[in-house]
Amino acid sequence: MKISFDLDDVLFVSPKDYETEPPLRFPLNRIFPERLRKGTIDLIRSLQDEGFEVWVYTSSFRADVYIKTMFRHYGIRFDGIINGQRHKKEIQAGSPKPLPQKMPHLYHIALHIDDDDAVLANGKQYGFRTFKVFEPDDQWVEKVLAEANRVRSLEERAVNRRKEKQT
Amino acid sequence: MEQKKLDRKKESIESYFVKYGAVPVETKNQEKLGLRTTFEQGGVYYRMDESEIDGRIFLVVSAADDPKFADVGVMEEVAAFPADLTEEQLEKEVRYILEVEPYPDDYPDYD
Repeated sequence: MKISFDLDDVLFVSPKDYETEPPLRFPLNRIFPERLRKGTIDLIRSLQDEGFEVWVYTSSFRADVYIKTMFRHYGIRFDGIINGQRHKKEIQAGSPKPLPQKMPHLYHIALHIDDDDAVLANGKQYGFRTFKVFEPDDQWVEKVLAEANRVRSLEERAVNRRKEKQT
Repeated sequence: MEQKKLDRKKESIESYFVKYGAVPVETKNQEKLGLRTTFEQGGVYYRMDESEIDGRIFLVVSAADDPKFADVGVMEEVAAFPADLTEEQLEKEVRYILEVEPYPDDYPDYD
Protein backbone atom coordinates (compact mmCIF):
# COMPACT_ATOMS: atom_id res chain seq x y z
CA MET A 1 0.00 0.00 0.00
CA LYS A 2 1.23 3.50 -0.83
CA ILE A 3 1.27 6.28 1.76
CA SER A 4 2.37 9.82 0.98
CA PHE A 5 3.55 12.75 3.06
CA ASP A 6 3.35 16.47 2.53
CA LEU A 7 6.64 18.24 3.30
CA ASP A 8 6.10 21.77 4.62
CA ASP A 9 4.70 21.79 8.18
CA VAL A 10 4.44 17.99 8.15
CA LEU A 11 7.93 16.50 7.70
CA PHE A 12 9.69 19.88 7.45
CA VAL A 13 9.04 21.97 10.54
CA SER A 14 10.54 24.95 12.31
CA PRO A 15 12.88 24.10 15.19
CA LYS A 16 11.47 27.17 16.96
CA ASP A 17 8.13 25.45 17.42
CA TYR A 18 8.88 21.73 17.09
CA GLU A 19 11.32 19.10 18.28
CA THR A 20 13.44 18.20 15.26
CA GLU A 21 15.92 15.64 14.03
CA PRO A 22 19.57 16.79 14.20
CA PRO A 23 20.60 19.09 11.34
CA LEU A 24 22.90 17.79 8.62
CA ARG A 25 26.60 18.43 9.01
CA PHE A 26 28.23 21.61 7.70
CA PRO A 27 28.02 22.74 4.90
CA LEU A 28 25.07 20.47 4.01
CA ASN A 29 23.02 22.26 6.67
CA ARG A 30 23.39 25.41 4.57
CA ILE A 31 22.22 23.92 1.29
CA PHE A 32 19.50 21.83 2.97
CA PRO A 33 18.21 24.23 5.64
CA GLU A 34 14.94 22.38 6.20
CA ARG A 35 14.64 20.55 9.51
CA LEU A 36 12.84 17.25 9.93
CA ARG A 37 10.12 16.77 12.50
CA LYS A 38 11.46 14.53 15.26
CA GLY A 39 10.48 10.94 14.58
CA THR A 40 10.42 11.30 10.78
CA ILE A 41 13.31 8.91 10.19
CA ASP A 42 11.97 6.19 12.48
CA LEU A 43 8.46 6.58 11.06
CA ILE A 44 9.49 6.22 7.43
CA ARG A 45 11.76 3.27 8.22
CA SER A 46 9.01 1.57 10.23
CA LEU A 47 6.49 2.05 7.43
CA GLN A 48 8.86 0.64 4.84
CA ASP A 49 9.78 -2.26 7.15
CA GLU A 50 6.06 -3.02 7.45
CA GLY A 51 5.79 -3.19 3.67
CA PHE A 52 4.32 0.25 2.91
CA GLU A 53 5.56 2.24 -0.05
CA VAL A 54 6.39 5.72 1.22
CA TRP A 55 5.99 8.68 -1.14
CA VAL A 56 6.30 12.44 -0.92
CA TYR A 57 3.45 14.49 -2.36
CA THR A 58 4.23 18.18 -2.10
CA SER A 59 2.86 21.18 -3.91
CA SER A 60 6.26 22.85 -3.54
CA PHE A 61 8.52 23.10 -6.56
CA ARG A 62 11.63 21.71 -4.88
CA ALA A 63 13.36 19.45 -7.39
CA ASP A 64 12.97 15.71 -7.02
CA VAL A 65 16.77 15.39 -6.86
CA TYR A 66 16.92 17.96 -4.04
CA ILE A 67 14.34 16.11 -1.91
CA LYS A 68 15.87 12.74 -2.70
CA THR A 69 19.43 13.86 -1.89
CA MET A 70 18.48 15.55 1.35
CA PHE A 71 16.72 12.43 2.65
CA ARG A 72 19.54 10.15 1.44
CA HIS A 73 21.72 11.94 4.00
CA TYR A 74 19.35 10.61 6.67
CA GLY A 75 19.44 7.13 5.15
CA ILE A 76 15.93 7.40 3.71
CA ARG A 77 14.91 6.46 0.19
CA PHE A 78 11.39 7.31 -0.89
CA ASP A 79 9.51 5.02 -3.22
CA GLY A 80 8.23 8.00 -5.20
CA ILE A 81 8.17 11.78 -5.18
CA ILE A 82 5.47 14.03 -6.63
CA ASN A 83 6.36 17.70 -6.52
CA GLY A 84 4.48 20.70 -7.88
CA GLN A 85 6.16 20.33 -11.24
CA ARG A 86 5.20 16.67 -11.65
CA HIS A 87 1.63 17.29 -10.48
CA LYS A 88 1.29 20.14 -12.97
CA LYS A 89 2.62 18.01 -15.81
CA GLU A 90 0.87 14.72 -15.07
CA ILE A 91 -2.37 15.75 -13.36
CA GLN A 92 -3.26 19.35 -14.11
CA ALA A 93 -2.05 19.42 -17.72
CA GLY A 94 -4.59 16.81 -18.78
CA SER A 95 -7.55 18.68 -17.32
CA PRO A 96 -9.37 21.68 -18.77
CA LYS A 97 -10.58 22.79 -15.32
CA PRO A 98 -8.38 23.68 -12.34
CA LEU A 99 -7.85 20.66 -10.10
CA PRO A 100 -6.84 20.54 -6.41
CA GLN A 101 -3.14 20.89 -5.64
CA LYS A 102 -2.94 17.19 -4.68
CA MET A 103 -4.72 14.17 -6.12
CA PRO A 104 -3.01 11.21 -4.42
CA HIS A 105 -5.59 8.63 -5.51
CA LEU A 106 -4.51 9.17 -9.13
CA TYR A 107 -1.14 7.69 -8.11
CA HIS A 108 -2.90 4.83 -6.25
CA ILE A 109 -1.85 6.35 -2.93
CA ALA A 110 -4.19 4.94 -0.29
CA LEU A 111 -3.38 7.42 2.49
CA HIS A 112 -2.00 10.96 2.33
CA ILE A 113 -0.64 12.80 5.39
CA ASP A 114 -1.05 16.59 5.32
CA ASP A 115 -1.53 19.63 7.54
CA ASP A 116 -3.74 21.60 5.17
CA ASP A 117 -7.50 21.59 5.79
CA ALA A 118 -8.11 22.32 2.10
CA VAL A 119 -6.33 19.09 1.14
CA LEU A 120 -8.34 17.18 3.74
CA ALA A 121 -11.56 18.66 2.35
CA ASN A 122 -10.48 17.73 -1.18
CA GLY A 123 -9.96 14.19 0.06
CA LYS A 124 -13.62 13.99 1.01
CA GLN A 125 -14.74 15.56 -2.26
CA TYR A 126 -12.50 13.56 -4.61
CA GLY A 127 -12.41 10.31 -2.67
CA PHE A 128 -8.90 9.97 -1.27
CA ARG A 129 -8.01 9.18 2.34
CA THR A 130 -6.12 11.76 4.39
CA PHE A 131 -4.76 12.05 7.90
CA LYS A 132 -3.99 15.37 9.51
CA VAL A 133 -0.65 16.05 11.17
CA PHE A 134 0.18 19.59 12.08
CA GLU A 135 0.81 20.76 15.63
CA PRO A 136 3.61 19.42 17.84
CA ASP A 137 2.50 15.97 18.98
CA ASP A 138 4.71 13.45 20.81
CA GLN A 139 2.48 10.65 19.58
CA TRP A 140 2.43 11.56 15.88
CA VAL A 141 4.58 8.59 14.80
CA GLU A 142 2.34 6.08 16.57
CA LYS A 143 -0.80 7.79 15.24
CA VAL A 144 0.40 7.69 11.62
CA LEU A 145 1.48 4.05 11.96
CA ALA A 146 -1.90 3.14 13.45
CA GLU A 147 -3.77 4.97 10.69
CA ALA A 148 -1.64 3.35 7.98
CA ASN A 149 -2.41 -0.09 9.40
CA ARG A 150 -6.11 0.74 9.78
CA VAL A 151 -6.33 1.84 6.15
CA ARG A 152 -4.43 -1.22 5.01
CA SER A 153 -6.98 -3.44 6.81
CA LEU A 154 -9.84 -1.57 5.14
CA GLU A 155 -8.19 -1.92 1.73
CA GLU A 156 -7.60 -5.63 2.25
CA ARG A 157 -11.19 -6.18 3.34
CA ALA A 158 -12.44 -4.32 0.27
CA VAL A 159 -10.27 -6.49 -2.00
CA ASN A 160 -11.53 -9.65 -0.31
CA ARG A 161 -15.16 -8.53 -0.70
CA ARG A 162 -14.59 -7.91 -4.42
CA LYS A 163 -13.04 -11.37 -4.79
CA GLU A 164 -15.98 -12.99 -2.97
CA LYS A 165 -18.45 -11.23 -5.25
CA GLN A 166 -16.62 -12.50 -8.32
CA THR A 167 -16.70 -16.15 -7.16
CA MET B 1 42.76 28.61 -3.34
CA GLU B 2 43.45 30.43 -6.60
CA GLN B 3 40.85 30.24 -9.37
CA LYS B 4 43.02 28.12 -11.68
CA LYS B 5 43.43 25.43 -9.03
CA LEU B 6 39.72 25.59 -8.27
CA ASP B 7 38.88 25.14 -11.94
CA ARG B 8 41.24 22.16 -12.16
CA LYS B 9 39.39 20.56 -9.25
CA LYS B 10 36.09 21.13 -11.05
CA GLU B 11 37.50 19.53 -14.20
CA SER B 12 38.63 16.60 -12.13
CA ILE B 13 35.14 16.14 -10.67
CA GLU B 14 33.61 16.41 -14.13
CA SER B 15 35.91 13.64 -15.32
CA TYR B 16 34.51 11.47 -12.48
CA PHE B 17 30.98 12.30 -13.65
CA VAL B 18 31.92 10.85 -17.03
CA LYS B 19 33.69 7.88 -15.43
CA TYR B 20 30.43 6.95 -13.68
CA GLY B 21 28.27 7.25 -16.77
CA ALA B 22 27.11 10.88 -16.92
CA VAL B 23 27.21 12.48 -20.35
CA PRO B 24 27.83 16.13 -21.21
CA VAL B 25 24.82 17.90 -22.69
CA GLU B 26 24.48 21.16 -24.56
CA THR B 27 22.47 23.85 -22.83
CA LYS B 28 21.19 27.12 -24.24
CA ASN B 29 22.74 29.67 -21.96
CA GLN B 30 25.96 28.02 -20.87
CA GLU B 31 28.30 30.47 -22.54
CA LYS B 32 26.10 33.50 -22.06
CA LEU B 33 25.85 32.86 -18.30
CA GLY B 34 29.44 31.68 -17.98
CA LEU B 35 28.36 28.29 -16.65
CA ARG B 36 30.32 25.07 -16.78
CA THR B 37 29.22 22.03 -18.77
CA THR B 38 26.03 20.28 -17.67
CA PHE B 39 26.07 16.47 -17.36
CA GLU B 40 23.08 14.16 -17.50
CA GLN B 41 22.62 10.80 -15.88
CA GLY B 42 19.35 8.93 -15.30
CA GLY B 43 17.25 11.98 -16.16
CA VAL B 44 19.06 14.23 -13.68
CA TYR B 45 21.23 17.16 -14.77
CA TYR B 46 24.37 18.11 -12.82
CA ARG B 47 26.74 21.06 -12.99
CA MET B 48 29.85 22.04 -11.06
CA ASP B 49 29.78 25.41 -9.37
CA GLU B 50 31.49 27.09 -6.47
CA SER B 51 29.85 28.91 -3.63
CA GLU B 52 30.92 30.97 -0.66
CA ILE B 53 29.49 29.48 2.52
CA ASP B 54 30.26 31.19 5.84
CA GLY B 55 33.15 33.02 4.20
CA ARG B 56 34.77 29.90 2.70
CA ILE B 57 34.75 28.75 -0.90
CA PHE B 58 33.20 25.33 -1.44
CA LEU B 59 32.87 23.24 -4.55
CA VAL B 60 29.18 22.81 -5.17
CA VAL B 61 27.22 20.41 -7.34
CA SER B 62 23.95 21.82 -8.61
CA ALA B 63 21.23 19.64 -10.08
CA ALA B 64 17.85 19.72 -11.79
CA ASP B 65 15.38 17.05 -12.92
CA ASP B 66 13.68 19.13 -15.55
CA PRO B 67 15.57 19.60 -18.83
CA LYS B 68 13.88 23.00 -19.27
CA PHE B 69 15.43 24.23 -16.01
CA ALA B 70 18.78 22.65 -16.85
CA ASP B 71 18.70 24.35 -20.22
CA VAL B 72 18.44 27.81 -18.69
CA GLY B 73 20.88 27.02 -15.90
CA VAL B 74 18.31 26.99 -13.07
CA MET B 75 19.46 24.30 -10.65
CA GLU B 76 19.45 23.59 -6.93
CA GLU B 77 22.58 22.92 -4.91
CA VAL B 78 22.68 19.29 -3.76
CA ALA B 79 26.27 18.81 -2.60
CA ALA B 80 29.06 20.98 -1.23
CA PHE B 81 32.55 20.07 -0.11
CA PRO B 82 35.92 21.81 0.32
CA ALA B 83 38.16 22.22 -2.71
CA ASP B 84 41.22 20.89 -0.90
CA LEU B 85 39.98 17.30 -0.75
CA THR B 86 42.25 14.64 -2.21
CA GLU B 87 41.44 13.10 -5.60
CA GLU B 88 40.24 9.98 -3.82
CA GLN B 89 37.86 12.02 -1.65
CA LEU B 90 36.57 13.98 -4.65
CA GLU B 91 35.83 10.74 -6.49
CA LYS B 92 33.99 9.47 -3.40
CA GLU B 93 31.83 12.60 -3.40
CA VAL B 94 30.89 11.94 -7.02
CA ARG B 95 30.08 8.31 -6.20
CA TYR B 96 27.69 9.53 -3.46
CA ILE B 97 26.08 12.16 -5.69
CA LEU B 98 25.49 9.77 -8.58
CA GLU B 99 24.22 7.11 -6.16
CA VAL B 100 26.99 4.67 -6.99
CA GLU B 101 27.14 4.24 -3.23
CA PRO B 102 25.06 5.59 -0.32
CA TYR B 103 26.17 8.45 1.88
CA PRO B 104 27.93 6.86 4.87
CA ASP B 105 26.73 7.43 8.44
CA ASP B 106 30.10 9.00 9.22
CA TYR B 107 29.96 11.49 6.32
CA PRO B 108 32.45 14.19 7.33
CA ASP B 109 31.68 17.53 8.90
CA TYR B 110 33.63 20.05 6.82
CA ASP B 111 33.47 22.81 9.41
